[in-house]
Amino acid sequence: MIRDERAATSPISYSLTIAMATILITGLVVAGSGHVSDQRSTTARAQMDVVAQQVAGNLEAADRLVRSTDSPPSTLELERQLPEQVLGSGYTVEIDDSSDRVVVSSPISDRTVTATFDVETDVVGSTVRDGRITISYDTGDDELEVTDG
Amino acid sequence: MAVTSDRGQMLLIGAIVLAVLFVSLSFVLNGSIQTTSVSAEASDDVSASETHALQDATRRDVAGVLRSAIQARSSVSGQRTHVQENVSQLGQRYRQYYAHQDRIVDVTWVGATDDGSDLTAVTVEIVERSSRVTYRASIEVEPGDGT
Repeated sequence: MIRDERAATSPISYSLTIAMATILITGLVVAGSGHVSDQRSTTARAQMDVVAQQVAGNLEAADRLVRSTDSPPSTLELERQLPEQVLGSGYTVEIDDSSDRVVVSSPISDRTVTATFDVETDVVGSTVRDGRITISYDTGDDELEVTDG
Repeated sequence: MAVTSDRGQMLLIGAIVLAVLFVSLSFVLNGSIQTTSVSAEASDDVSASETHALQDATRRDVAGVLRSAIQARSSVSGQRTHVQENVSQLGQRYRQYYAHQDRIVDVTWVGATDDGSDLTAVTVEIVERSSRVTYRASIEVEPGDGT
């Protein structure tokens, strides 16, 4: 009788190996999911920060375009395509005219992200949703306003 | 003659452990990569320097066309036709020039005002489209602009 037992395991050592592997995998999954969760929060905040900076930057750009000449444009619109979602979740952008800040909030993050803007033209406070936004200049009131669409 | 072949359990378990490890890693790395790419694309289109240049160039060029129309001392309707045709040509040149920079630019005639003998101002609309930003403005150009 020829018994080929190379690399073969006994039932006990086999069971021990399975148990150790299970513990190892469980540990990996638990540690990994915690890390992934942290990473998702960080990523969400980073993306919200990018959105806030983009809106603030475009507001400042519109302000510079309005003030670049002695006679400002009769009409001015700056349409901006923002990301539709932040990590699969929608978000809102609030223009706080009292503190000159852009505040971005999303259900995916328990914290809001802000970016300040520095403009000389008055800005109307408003709240818009994700996606396409329009920054328009009102010649009559000499104001910039951010709206959806 | 019985041949027992129990080899392979360790390889199988090792493969499962490695697979789970790689899947976990892919989740973690995916988040990091997404953050980096979104951040990188953010910086390229909040700058308005190109739009500034376009607005200034349009004002200067249209004012030049308006001055040449007035200097030709033709009637108001003649001046109007002259400016209208030249603004159309200007728009075409801008479109060709900015197409090389991945931007679509349109400069179109909107209207003009006159004092009975000459045109006093011309209004043109500028539209500039890039991948994420569309800029649209109407500017009123007077003969003295851009000198």
